[in-house]
Amino acid sequence: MRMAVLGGRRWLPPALAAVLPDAVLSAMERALPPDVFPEEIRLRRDHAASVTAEGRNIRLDVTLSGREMADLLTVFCGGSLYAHGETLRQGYLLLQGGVRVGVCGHAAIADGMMTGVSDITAFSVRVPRHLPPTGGEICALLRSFRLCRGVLVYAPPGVGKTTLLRGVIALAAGGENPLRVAVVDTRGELEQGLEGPSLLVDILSGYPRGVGVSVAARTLSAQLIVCDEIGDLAEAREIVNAHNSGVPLLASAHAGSLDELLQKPAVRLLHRARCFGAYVRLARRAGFDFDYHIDTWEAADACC
Amino acid sequence: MPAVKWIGLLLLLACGVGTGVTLLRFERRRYLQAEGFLALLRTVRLDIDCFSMPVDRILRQCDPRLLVACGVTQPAADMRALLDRARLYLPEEFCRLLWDFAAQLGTGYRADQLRCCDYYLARLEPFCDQMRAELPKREKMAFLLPSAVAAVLSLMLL
Repeated sequence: MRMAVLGGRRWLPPALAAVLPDAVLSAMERALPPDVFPEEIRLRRDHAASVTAEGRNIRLDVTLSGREMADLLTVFCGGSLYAHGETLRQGYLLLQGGVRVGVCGHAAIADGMMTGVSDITAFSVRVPRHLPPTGGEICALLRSFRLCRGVLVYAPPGVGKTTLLRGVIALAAGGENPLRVAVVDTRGELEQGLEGPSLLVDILSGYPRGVGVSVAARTLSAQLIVCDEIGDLAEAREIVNAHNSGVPLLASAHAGSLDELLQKPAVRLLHRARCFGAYVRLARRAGFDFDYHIDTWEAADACC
Repeated sequence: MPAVKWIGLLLLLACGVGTGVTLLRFERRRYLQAEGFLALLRTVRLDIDCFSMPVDRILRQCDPRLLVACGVTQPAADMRALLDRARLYLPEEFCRLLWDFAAQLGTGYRADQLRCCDYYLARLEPFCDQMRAELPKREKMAFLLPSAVAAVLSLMLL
């Protein structure tokens, strides 16, 4: 992933550096210690902005007015708010370069349905990370199942599930014995850094997870399907239907423990359908060095 | 001196006809530009309706001939930049409506944007209809008036 140098020491994706207000960039320069990379930038209306780095929240000496927040929304949308209507209703925007921006404001409701967001009060800008050479353990686990069963990676938010998935995709779709990997990239975060011409990767960009998994299994004859952040029961049903084709699924979910994970209705449905051969709890040691705690399907089932 | 006089008269006549041809072309260009912008608005509406495509991508992907008809040679990132770059031959009211449209494009959700496109299409179409109806007369007038003035002047100077 191409990154821009700011102030000679901080790195941000160029697409993000180009749209963030100068005041915020300057404040980040002042507030962050050298060689510390921002993970999340939070901009708030009439409240202090903050940046999260290495798990710490650092207050920035900058506040944005309602007008500035509205202008920033237009900039984030590239002057085409309507093109982001669907994701805005789900609470986020996706900028170029895989930058996800959480949006908080006043919900406009019509006939019980959310039709839009106005009076923006906060943006949560999640800075994508470099594609690290990680995920070898997950690749080995998938191959140990002879590509018949999938793996579900789970961890609390911010640990690096998406980064790990990207690493696994790069490893599985590249190298000496590459697999045909189909990536269902609903939020546009997985495809970043997968531009290598040697990768055997098909990216279903913007597809709802259920539809994407179904397309990947039925029409792309993928050997591995990857998708991020399973959560919705309807999606899980579609995934179960697609899973009948026998293509393994590598997915991620938010959970702090196996119990918590299996209490999620969507994951429980996938578990009962035996979509996953193993559940991997992720913990970050330092940088992109992860600790993996692996539970087989049988072990997880015993916990249920 | 008669030769010089004849040459002068011929030059006067040529200027008149030349001016007429230039004005005729201007009238045609003006009409084609109006039609071009109308077609561009329809394209924008279609791409928003069918694909929710961002403005910059719509302008980048649209038919280059359409942009040429609008008086632009290079695609622009948004409608305002496009209008800035375009050499406009259009009536003042038509231009004002285009600038208003450009200011509103991209600021609302899909349904609002479609309504916005429909509104400006409905406002601009009558202009185009009127220009289309008046074009033959205006072309004739644009060509004949300077030519006739030149001819009369030539006769007076004869």
